[in-house]
Amino acid sequence: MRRTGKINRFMKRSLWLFHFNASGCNGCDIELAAAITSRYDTERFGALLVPSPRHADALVVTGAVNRLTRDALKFIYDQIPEPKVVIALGTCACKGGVFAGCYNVAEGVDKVIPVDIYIPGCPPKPDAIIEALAKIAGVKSKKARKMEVKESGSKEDRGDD
Amino acid sequence: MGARKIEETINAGIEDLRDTVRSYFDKGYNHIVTITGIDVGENIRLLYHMANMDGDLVHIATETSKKSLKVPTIIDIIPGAYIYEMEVHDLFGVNFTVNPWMKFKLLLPDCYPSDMPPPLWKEVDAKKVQQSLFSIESPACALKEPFSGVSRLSPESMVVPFGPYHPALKEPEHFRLIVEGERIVKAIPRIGFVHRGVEKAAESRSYLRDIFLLERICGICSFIHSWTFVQAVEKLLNLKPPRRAEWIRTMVSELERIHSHSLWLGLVGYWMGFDTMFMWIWGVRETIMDLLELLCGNRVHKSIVTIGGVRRDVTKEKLNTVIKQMKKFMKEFKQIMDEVLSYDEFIERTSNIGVFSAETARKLCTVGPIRRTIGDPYDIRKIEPYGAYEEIGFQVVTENKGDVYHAIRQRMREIYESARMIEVLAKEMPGGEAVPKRLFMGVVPEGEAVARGEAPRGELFYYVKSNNKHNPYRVKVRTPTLANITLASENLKGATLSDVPLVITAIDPCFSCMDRVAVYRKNTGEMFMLTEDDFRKLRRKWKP
Amino acid sequence: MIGEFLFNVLVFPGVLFSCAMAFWLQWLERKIVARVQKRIGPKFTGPSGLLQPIYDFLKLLSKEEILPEHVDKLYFRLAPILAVTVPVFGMLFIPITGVKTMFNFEGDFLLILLLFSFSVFATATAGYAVFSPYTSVGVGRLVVQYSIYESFMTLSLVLAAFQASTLSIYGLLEYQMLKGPLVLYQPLGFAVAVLALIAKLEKPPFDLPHAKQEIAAGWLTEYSGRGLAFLKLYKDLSMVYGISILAVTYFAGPLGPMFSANPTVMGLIYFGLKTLFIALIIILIRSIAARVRVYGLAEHFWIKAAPLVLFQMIIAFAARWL
Repeated sequence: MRRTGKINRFMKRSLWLFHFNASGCNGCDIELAAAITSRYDTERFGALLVPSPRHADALVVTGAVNRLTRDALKFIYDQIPEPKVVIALGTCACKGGVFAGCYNVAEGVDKVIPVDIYIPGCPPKPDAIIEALAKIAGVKSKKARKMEVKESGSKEDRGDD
Repeated sequence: MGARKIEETINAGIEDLRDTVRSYFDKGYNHIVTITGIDVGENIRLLYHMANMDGDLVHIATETSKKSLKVPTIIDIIPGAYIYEMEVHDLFGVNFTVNPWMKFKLLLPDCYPSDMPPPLWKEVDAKKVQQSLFSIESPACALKEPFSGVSRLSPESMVVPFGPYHPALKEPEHFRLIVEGERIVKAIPRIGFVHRGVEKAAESRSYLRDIFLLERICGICSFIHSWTFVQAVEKLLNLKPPRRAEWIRTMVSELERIHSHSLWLGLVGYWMGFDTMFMWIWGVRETIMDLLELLCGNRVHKSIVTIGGVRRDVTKEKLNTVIKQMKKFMKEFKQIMDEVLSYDEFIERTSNIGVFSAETARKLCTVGPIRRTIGDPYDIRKIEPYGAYEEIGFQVVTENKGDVYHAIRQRMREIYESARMIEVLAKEMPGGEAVPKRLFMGVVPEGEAVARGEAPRGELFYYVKSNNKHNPYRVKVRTPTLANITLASENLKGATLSDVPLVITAIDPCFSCMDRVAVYRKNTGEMFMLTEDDFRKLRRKWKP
Repeated sequence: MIGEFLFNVLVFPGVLFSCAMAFWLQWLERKIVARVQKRIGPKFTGPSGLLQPIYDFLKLLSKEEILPEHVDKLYFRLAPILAVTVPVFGMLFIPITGVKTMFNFEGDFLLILLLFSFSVFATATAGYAVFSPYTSVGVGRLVVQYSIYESFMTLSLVLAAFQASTLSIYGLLEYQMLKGPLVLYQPLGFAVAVLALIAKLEKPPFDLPHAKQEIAAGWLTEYSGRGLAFLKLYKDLSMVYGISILAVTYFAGPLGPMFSANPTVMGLIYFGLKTLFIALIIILIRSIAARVRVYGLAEHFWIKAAPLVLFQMIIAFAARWL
């Protein structure tokens, strides 16, 4: 199952994510959700979370895949139109993490579908997710990280637009 | 108080089991914590842990041989026990007669090979099971229903996956709903999408490594998992952790509680269609995450507790930061919640949804904030204090009605209480050593211990059996959501399909959230599933 | 003639201009909603994220289009195209750089109103094409919502036409040239029309037919690639179209002081300002509101809006004959 077609330049700055939790502990999912909220904001790079795999460009998988979710994962993967990207979020999705060796776990998403991007971490901080998206979008990470939370809680961006 | 070794068990034969259970039930032990199964060679030993409202626990033990595996059920005495019997049935192969749920699998995939013994038997090798499970190609194995998109059934039925949270937090789970018309008649939980085989893995790792394994059972309440486990192990070792360590643990635990409750509140806002509330609350929640990172080094899996204390100490500056940031958080949080709760429409949309009665909750042995919402002050921190809770004292928050609006108020007030506790803890932190000189890597003498903790979602239960080795002989975890799922199933009865997401969110499910809600039409026998979007639409269609 | 015709249809105020406005309004909405939610919104695509909607559109065009199994292929493909055509066609009648476009005729006001209602047909076609039954639920919701807001929208706009005693757009502008913008006489009508427009656009608080605007679902779920691109464009075009109608009806469109000096430029400026104003109202309501249920929807319209409209009717009568 190789993906066909390359990501074109429009997709890089408009990557729509479909999130799928394949037996994760929820840690990565929450960090992903935190990445879309006000402090980190993935929408800056055009990345949105969409509810339907048909609308998505990238499949973000968290969790060490277990037997039940393995089939679901395959199915969802097929639903995503080409060209697509698969992102394995978290150490469990990359290689099984702390659950390697458990009986109901396939160790890593790449045992089920081809993975393009690995984001390790247990869980990866939202900063890591932002960094990954920034790399895909071709934005220099320094610019992306130049966001500070002011005392009052509002954000200020110091970089150039 | 708190964790304890099991000094004595009440042994009962198979025939006397029901009477023994009933006699203790009548004595006031009407809350079943869980049923632990242990493989003791020839037999499977079952421990029924029953508790009363004052924090006392009794353990009723019975044994059945691996050849017969038949035990009488107790669900007519305690209806809420059916989920534990299902679990033991899955993992140990014990048949409870007559429990009608026995024909459904709870945790294991449906294609678990029938020629292989149940996974938690000692003779079963985890790797072999893994290989065999993943070599089975048939997709009909895991779940008989299709997942999304196209329906092949009549226009009555809808087939799409359902996730209760924002698309970010789709955690897979499954309820089988039997409906008549639009009303739900019965709901059968089918979890197992996050079943990884942790209990089996815990037996093959040392106690220290198990801390890291067990805290990853859940990403939201990870700290309390590791702490409760460590409590049980410390009791087996007769080890009393230093006072400062207990205070630090308590502080981290309360911070986790706030983060978990505010997470849930944000999600409830999302469910209302109130995105702004979701974004704002999660933005404010980042302050807490920063504090956790400051104290423990990691935002989610804190790994700060260890056998004999904590892994790192906190400095005075850090404690001052904690106090300052907590003030800031409380100010902002209060602002948001005051605004939201003054919004009439919000109150109207959450009141009288997911209503359940006190009797139902007690009958099903519900735990946690959802139990306290109906008025029972069932908080493990109070009735079986551990850590620093007894020393600093706190108020148990209760409400008086079981619906979503009161659940929201309940958790909001618990946040206020936790914030107050954190301030006290930070200001009056005792001195002394908190970090043990060496990490524990030794052998734990033989014994059994249980520990209970109050996770953000409710009562968390750990049972550890050691046999003088580096690895535990058996670790049993009973998470709060497993206890509360029975309530969700019950609440779904009589509800319309449109209520389903809110009803289930009300119990604040953790690893047990539903990804898939399958609906069986009783009269036509058809089966279909619903999406969250369906539910939002349906909610508008049928709700008055 | 042909040249002018083509220019009008394809560039201004036809396809290109409408799409440009659609993208501009989408960007505005995303930025404002983000700011209200304490975020930033699109930022790196183009200056301040301005090109983000265009990137989204082009990306969707370049994606594989997956046809679901049980689908009426003709209607599935037809629905997005139909959907997009309707608002663009309507925009041809909106005067922007002058008081008349080359398509205006007596009674065109009626036409643009009807076109406005017609676009729901496109959505229904999309829903019909996909045999997934929950789609039918989504479309069913849509039709119910339509039946509630439609009468209010039409009535408010017709009251405006009534006061001006005309059924042509030019007539409306003429009236407003003499008597001032109609919003001064019919503020209630304007308010109700805005509310109905929000319902038409399925924006919160009236996004019942599907979960959210950014996260389309329901009947939109099965679409991918080109179909999705056009359906999303249709949503934004509807917004442009609806706001343009309101701008012309209540705020006298391109008119304003010093209009006659340089109709093209001044008209564009005034038109831009007025649409911006109305768009801001809609976006702000959308960003702070929570979704209502059917009961809430009905309540908003039949209980709260209806008296306003009736009162407005009285004023319109008075204004016409006094």
